Amino acid sequence: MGSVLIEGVTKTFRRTAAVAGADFVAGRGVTGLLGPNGAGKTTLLRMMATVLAPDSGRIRVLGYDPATPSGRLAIRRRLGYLPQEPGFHRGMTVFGFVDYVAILKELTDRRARHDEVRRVIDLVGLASVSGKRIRALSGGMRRRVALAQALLGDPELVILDEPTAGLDPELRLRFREIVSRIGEDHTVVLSTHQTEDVAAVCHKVVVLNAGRVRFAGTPTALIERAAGRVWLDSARGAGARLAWRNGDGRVRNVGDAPPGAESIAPTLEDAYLLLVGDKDLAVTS
Amino acid sequence: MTVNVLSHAPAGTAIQTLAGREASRMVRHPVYVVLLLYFVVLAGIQATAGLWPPSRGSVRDLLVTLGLLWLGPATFFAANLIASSARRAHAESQLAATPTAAQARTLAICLGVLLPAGLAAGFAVMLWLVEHNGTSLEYAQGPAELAVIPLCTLGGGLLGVATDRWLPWRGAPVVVGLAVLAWVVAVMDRGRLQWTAPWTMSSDYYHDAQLAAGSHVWHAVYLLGLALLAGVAALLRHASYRRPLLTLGGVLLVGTLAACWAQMR
Repeated sequence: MGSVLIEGVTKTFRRTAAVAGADFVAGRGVTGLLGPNGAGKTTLLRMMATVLAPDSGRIRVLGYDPATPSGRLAIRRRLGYLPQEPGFHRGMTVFGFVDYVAILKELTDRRARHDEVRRVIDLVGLASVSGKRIRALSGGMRRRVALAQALLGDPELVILDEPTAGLDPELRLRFREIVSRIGEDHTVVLSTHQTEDVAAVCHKVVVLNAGRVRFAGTPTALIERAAGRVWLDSARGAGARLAWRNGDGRVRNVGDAPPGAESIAPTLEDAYLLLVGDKDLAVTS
Repeated sequence: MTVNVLSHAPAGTAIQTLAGREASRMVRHPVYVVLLLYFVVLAGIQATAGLWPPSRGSVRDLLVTLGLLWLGPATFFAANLIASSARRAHAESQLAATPTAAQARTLAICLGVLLPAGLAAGFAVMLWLVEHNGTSLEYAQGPAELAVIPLCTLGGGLLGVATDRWLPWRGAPVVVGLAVLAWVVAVMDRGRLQWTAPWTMSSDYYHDAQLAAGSHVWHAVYLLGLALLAGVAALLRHASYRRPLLTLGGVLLVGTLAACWAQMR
């Protein structure tokens, strides 16, 4: 059994079904949730993080049932959560805020807690600004503060909702390194719009669309589904769903290739674009 | 990566640690400085206008007024702002995923109010020592009278937390503060009914002359009851422990009403 088990989970806000019967399993390693805006990624992550209860279906996180108070407590003691829009007490310093969250995570021994706070602040590269007030930091730095609090206490499960949003390329690479190291012996579930991040660090990818799981498997398996559907030509092909001119002047087409087309190796992005825009490929593995 | 094995403290220890942090945030809140400056300026204007003749009695009355009208309201607003800070910072979903539940966080803030209340008690003890050692004041206040200062601070803080939990919108603390003020004004100079106010605006309060006969000790018990009722109300906003809290609230309500009646005898 995986660290996270989702079975037939639904969640509706008024008349809008945010999650409409999602099923997947996430085990040790890094699992990436991909999907367009409104696909239900954040809602699903909030349910995994015990912040939101599902309307129906079954969720098990690290073997515990979040529907029970004791299960919720057990999960929260083993969880690190970075929400999509993290909030901060902006008058606090970086150290003060992370230390405050550490207290909420029941790390009460002052010396051990402070050591841990310094460790995570250092891990996200904010040691030089740990005494600065959060209101004085840039958006990217605040994102790293939020990531630092999620990593407190070396949690067994780390849930990251769009962790690379607003980060510059250098920080995104640093983030990949951090997540990859955590994923070696922990479970990480992250949502993102960046297919490069998923291709770089995720062992498993789950594609969501309209609240349903459209694909669950390895990134390689997803890429294989697009084999023969990406080709280069001098103009946009008739069967292309998407096409753009490359730097070398040739047009990269993604869609139904004509006979004799010059096929090239698809990327995860190509496969993702074909999947969310192609109901014929909508088969969960 | 470095794997740190950190043990989780029992919930009670975590709440104590959090209460200490919230207490520290509370007493360092700028609202204390702002309100103190307001009262210092006000007292200065009144002194200039001759409303506070230079005498030991005037200074004492000024200090008692400061203790009541500064510490109580300042703690009310500070506690309210601390209690609402997570919501105002949009950090609630982040904090909701931590093992410290929302009710435990509310309890920690309520316990944090004990620090400003303790400081107010120290202020009251200092006043008592000054009044009873070598001063020639016509009337020296007893401990029960001076206890009103820390009790108003405690009640103000707990009411601030309850206000945030039940009325979580902008401007609500101002409305509640004005409602308490209206209550004080409404019972002013109404004989024994004046004892039901959490504090009185009349400086004659300190000299028994204008205040109808009553018991300062029962008044202190009454104020303590009101303060604890506000704390229970704050905790009742959450779904857990509703039954024991309602029972405690019921007992406190009966005790407070009894003390209210006893103070006016």
